[in-house]
Amino acid sequence: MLKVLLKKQFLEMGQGLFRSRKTGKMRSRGGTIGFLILFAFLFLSIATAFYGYADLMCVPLVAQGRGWLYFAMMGLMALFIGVVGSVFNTYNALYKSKDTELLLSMPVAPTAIITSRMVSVYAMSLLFTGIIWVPTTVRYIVAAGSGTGIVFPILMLFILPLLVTVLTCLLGWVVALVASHVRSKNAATVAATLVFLAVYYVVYFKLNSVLNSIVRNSDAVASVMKTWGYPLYRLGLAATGDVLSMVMVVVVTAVLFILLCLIMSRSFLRLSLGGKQAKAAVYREKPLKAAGINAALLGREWKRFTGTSIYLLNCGLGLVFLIAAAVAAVIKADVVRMVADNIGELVPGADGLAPVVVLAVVCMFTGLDMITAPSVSLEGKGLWLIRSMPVSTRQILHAKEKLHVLFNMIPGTIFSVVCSIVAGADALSVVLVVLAALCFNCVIAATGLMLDLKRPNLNWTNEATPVKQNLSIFLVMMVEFILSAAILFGGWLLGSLAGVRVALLVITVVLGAVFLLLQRWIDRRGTAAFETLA
Amino acid sequence: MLEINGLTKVYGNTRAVDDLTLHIRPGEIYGFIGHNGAGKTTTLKSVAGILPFDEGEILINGRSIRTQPMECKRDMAYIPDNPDIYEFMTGIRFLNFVADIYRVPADARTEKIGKLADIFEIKENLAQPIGSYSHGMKQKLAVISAWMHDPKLILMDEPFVGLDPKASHTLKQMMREVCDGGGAIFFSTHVLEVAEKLCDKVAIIKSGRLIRAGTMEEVKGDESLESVFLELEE
Repeated sequence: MLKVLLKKQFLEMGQGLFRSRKTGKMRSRGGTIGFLILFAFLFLSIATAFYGYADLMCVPLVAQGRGWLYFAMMGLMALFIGVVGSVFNTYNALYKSKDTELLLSMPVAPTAIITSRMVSVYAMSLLFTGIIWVPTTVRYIVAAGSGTGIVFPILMLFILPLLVTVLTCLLGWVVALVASHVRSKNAATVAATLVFLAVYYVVYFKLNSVLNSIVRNSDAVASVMKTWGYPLYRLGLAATGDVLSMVMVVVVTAVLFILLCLIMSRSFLRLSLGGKQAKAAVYREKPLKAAGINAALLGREWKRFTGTSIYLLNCGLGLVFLIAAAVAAVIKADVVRMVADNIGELVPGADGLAPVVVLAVVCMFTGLDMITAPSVSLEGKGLWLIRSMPVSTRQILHAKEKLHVLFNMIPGTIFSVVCSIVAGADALSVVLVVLAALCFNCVIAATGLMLDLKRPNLNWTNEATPVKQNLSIFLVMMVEFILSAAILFGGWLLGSLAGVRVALLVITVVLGAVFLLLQRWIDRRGTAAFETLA
Repeated sequence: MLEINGLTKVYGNTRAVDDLTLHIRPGEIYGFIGHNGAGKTTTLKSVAGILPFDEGEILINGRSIRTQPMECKRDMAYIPDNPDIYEFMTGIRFLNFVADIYRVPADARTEKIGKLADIFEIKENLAQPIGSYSHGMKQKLAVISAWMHDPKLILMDEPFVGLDPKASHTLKQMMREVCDGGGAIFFSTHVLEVAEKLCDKVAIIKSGRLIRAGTMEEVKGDESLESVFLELEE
């Protein structure tokens, strides 16, 4: 039975690889190979970045005879990334799969269902931990040489994901327990994710200095690790070839995994089928407010954006960065001012060009919001509703763009003004930075919408598909990075020749012109494309 | 009220609807029956202005859905076979959104929503997200939203699926009231007994082509609608 369920799980996981999510048809051999190459490229790119972190610690720690500390620290990082990468999908994968009721109606034991799903969580964890552990092992082999000892870190490659599975399933179980008791699951998800991401980014930005500090203070870290971080100490030792430690790690992991399976099997039915529910809200009749058609359409987009946690979290994080950056700019005003005053010493010919840098930063952050990129796809099976209503396609599409622009405009303007003033920009430059940022905002909104109109995917059962597996989002991110870089370098070149105001003015005009061209496409061909969707 | 003349819709090499002509007058409940994939939904979606079609013309109160879609859509309402409505909204927010689009005055919408939600017994649930609704509740919400702006023509695709017996009965009464008030209803159904009892006229479609249409007596004569339908389908 488990074999059949596992086959189904892996078919489901591999669906994106072999089958087009847009058409539902099998990909061509070329398409599958292309997809595999892209996947391998992404994996290698990220693994290379982690190879850099491994490089920081490997040589000095191995030379000190503390290879175990190297593996312990990299193992900790792999566990962290594994948990961060898998935890958001684990709750849905374990408890919210659409086939739960169908499987339970068949002669299938709940234990088999939960086990098959945990195996898929394990596979996902293997991917996330592997992205760190593979370069960690490779760097170790380069530093310490290959021999029979390499079997141990390779074995650890398969044990670490098991630990990640235990941790993520525990977190998923906690999320399910909380979700079954709170009224606003969406708000709870958003809040939990933001806290999680804050921790993640704090760790990420501090990583380099933390790793360097570990190397510098390896004596102290090693002694602390042996007492307070005993499991990690054993994990590190196991990876360096200590047989006793390996046996301990394997046994402890296996026991934890079995215990988790038992706990989850017991609560699976209650958590996946609803069970005890939070008290539902009761409607109390009161006069309703009327709004115009455009306001109603904008309200619809706003509700979709804020009412779909996965959409909000994946396409609206720029707002958090913008606000955090504005606050940081005020707190660290002296540092910002010092960098702005001495920018000419850091980059030749960049004297007085701080507003260009501010603009590039605001563009990079606002570009992280890609609200329009999945907005057509998110209409999904509900597209009939808006298509059957007396509203023009332009009104529908403009509402999508308006949401993107309005959402970014206020924090973008605040950041632009605050940071430009702190950097000592004059009034005209501040105004130009605000205008250019607004034009950039419009360009990203129109680009996202255009790309999704060209490649919409209306056939989905979970919002994660159009939001997380959408090429439009990836392409908008590319456009955003390229455009931000072009603004930075173009502004620097122009500014060094003609001054910062001219540079900002030219950037504003160019961005404005690009937006008008994109808008023309949306109003003509875009509307026609939308009207053929059904 | 509704004139469908020579409607043809092609998907690839398949003619989903082939030269279909049908006229519906004010006061008529017009049933549309056919096997799965016969072209009923395609026809209804084309009339609703959701699906562009290849040939023919559709007129609603003399106006073409092709050239005057906004005017046509203001006069009608459409309920699909599967009410996929915005799960990110609460029931009341959804109804208010629909009222905004159809420009229903604020006081009238409050009264109408209250009345219809009471009739369908979902008033208490209106504050909850639509995502938590059952299929039947979504169907009731879709029906309420369709009735919000007093449409002259209502298009419905399998409207009784998922409704409880009481709600089905209420919906049939409401359909009759619309027609008694000079409106018209065009709906598809697989429940032939319902069609036989409720409809003034009926059309049978097979593989995209209209094979029989007319008053109930003209179509079925002395036989039951079911036996006529099965005979024609063979």
